[in-house]
Amino acid sequence: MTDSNGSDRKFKWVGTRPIRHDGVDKVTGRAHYGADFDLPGMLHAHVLRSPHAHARIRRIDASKALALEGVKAVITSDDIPELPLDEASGPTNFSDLSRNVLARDKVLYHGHAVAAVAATSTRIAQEALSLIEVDYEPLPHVLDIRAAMAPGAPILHDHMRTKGLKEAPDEPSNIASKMELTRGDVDQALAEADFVIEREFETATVHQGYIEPHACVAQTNEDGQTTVWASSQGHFMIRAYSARLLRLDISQIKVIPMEIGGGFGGKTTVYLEPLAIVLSRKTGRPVKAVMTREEVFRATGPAPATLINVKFGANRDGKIVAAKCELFYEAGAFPGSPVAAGAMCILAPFDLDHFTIEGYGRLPRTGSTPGRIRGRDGDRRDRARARDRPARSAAQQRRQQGLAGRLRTEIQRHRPDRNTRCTAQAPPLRSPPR
Amino acid sequence: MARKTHVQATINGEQTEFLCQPHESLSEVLRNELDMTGTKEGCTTGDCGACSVLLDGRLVCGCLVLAVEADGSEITTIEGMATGQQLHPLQQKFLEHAALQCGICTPGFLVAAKALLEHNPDPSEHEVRYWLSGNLCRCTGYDKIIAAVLDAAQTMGGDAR
Repeated sequence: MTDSNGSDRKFKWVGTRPIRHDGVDKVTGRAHYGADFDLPGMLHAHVLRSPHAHARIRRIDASKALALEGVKAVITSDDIPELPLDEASGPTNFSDLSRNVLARDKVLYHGHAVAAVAATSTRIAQEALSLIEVDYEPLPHVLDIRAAMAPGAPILHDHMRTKGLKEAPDEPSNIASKMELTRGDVDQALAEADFVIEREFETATVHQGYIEPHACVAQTNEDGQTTVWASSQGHFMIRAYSARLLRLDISQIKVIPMEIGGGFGGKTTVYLEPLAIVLSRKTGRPVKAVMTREEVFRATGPAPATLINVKFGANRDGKIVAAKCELFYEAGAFPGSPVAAGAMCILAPFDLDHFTIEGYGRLPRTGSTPGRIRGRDGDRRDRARARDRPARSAAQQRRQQGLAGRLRTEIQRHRPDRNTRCTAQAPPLRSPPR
Repeated sequence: MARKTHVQATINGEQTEFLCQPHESLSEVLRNELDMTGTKEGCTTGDCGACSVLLDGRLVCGCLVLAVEADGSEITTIEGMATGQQLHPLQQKFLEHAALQCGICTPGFLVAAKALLEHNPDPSEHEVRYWLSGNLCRCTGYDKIIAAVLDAAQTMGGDAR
């Protein structure tokens, strides 16, 4: 075919409709996903999850569960290495990841993993969960951004100090970090602007809702070599993270990727894999772990809830002259919200001489879901279906519409000549680009 | 554990028997006892439609049917759609229209669409959308799936019955 510029260039693939290479296996049901894989002698694992939003774990007694016929092993955080609080590598905080995989000392959300059982059937594993006795001391919880920031709010992590402040704080805070982007003198520019519009936007936590729940199988041989079959967005990530969390050599783990039934940014970390590995090492048998849909919603990382305040100043000629934005992103129980991506993008369509953008990230809260324990802020900020994109787009577009509407009204009021066209046009509300 | 129950059923035209616990669902038995993992489990609460199968010609969620209730019935799963190496027109059209990405929902959509065309060989777009509303897809959006089903219906020219 020729291209639209009139060139007679011939393309090999552009303009064709190739059939996807994995298509036939997927339309016939032959493709194997995380939960479609079994091994002889395999055990089934289930995870005991916290019924509290925030509680101290005083004691865990698994003796009754272990006594149940068919139960081969029960693990808690005592069975995995305790990582130092600041152990991080690049964007990933392994200390948090370890404490999410199995809660240590405290549970931080309803659904936080507390123990895991391997048994000869899923039914027995589930029954064993009800026999594990956990003595909790419930603690006050916070459920949203405002509550997390309020003075005297229950503190989730006693060791956490807000990063990015001019003076390093002494007191713990639920605000993990602050960032600021500025240019010019925004306060003066706003004071001089003909109109100022101020809006507050709130978006809820949104789970990606991939149809395939997290699933894996782990097998450990007598020589200590472990193989993991898992569906994820990166099998080398599973190997590296699991090895780091369990203090194994990376060469002791091999990960075989299965087909992935959707991930959208939500399968870029480990949840079940380290547990299946430890259980397989403990029992000497292959162990399969599959989340239920409820567990996916309670215990895996969705896009953050946000609170976004924006203030825009514009002149009668329709030109936007200044903007002030405050973004508060909620990361869940551990730090790791993509607020930096939001801060960098929120004013991207504008050519402004005066602005400030303040991003308050990683506002932990208790209550539900761990959020994403992983930093790579912005690694997929253009993925329409993933993470914070919906929140940011909504604030951006709704704010522009509000401003444009206000500008039109004001300009028309101040100009008797109604034929003068207002140049401020809101972009149409549309889905983010794919 | 309760005693297992002996169940006989015709699955994709083949006489099949299996033993199952009274609490086990049809999708659990298909996947775990019979190794027919083409039927997927996304929610096990009847919301996502990934486990769609035909039970005596009726479209059901395999996760909501007790396997013991399948005794004496005729079951069609995704594994029974192609004839040998020959894909069903719906499967072919899903490929041509790129109506799948990750593919986890695809078997459910295909089985549901097959049931629709057996019911109504010449559905309107509205009817296709309504019929497939019990199946969730998170990757492709639904347009390509609807286009594939309509195209398949046209290709089959009423042969689905």
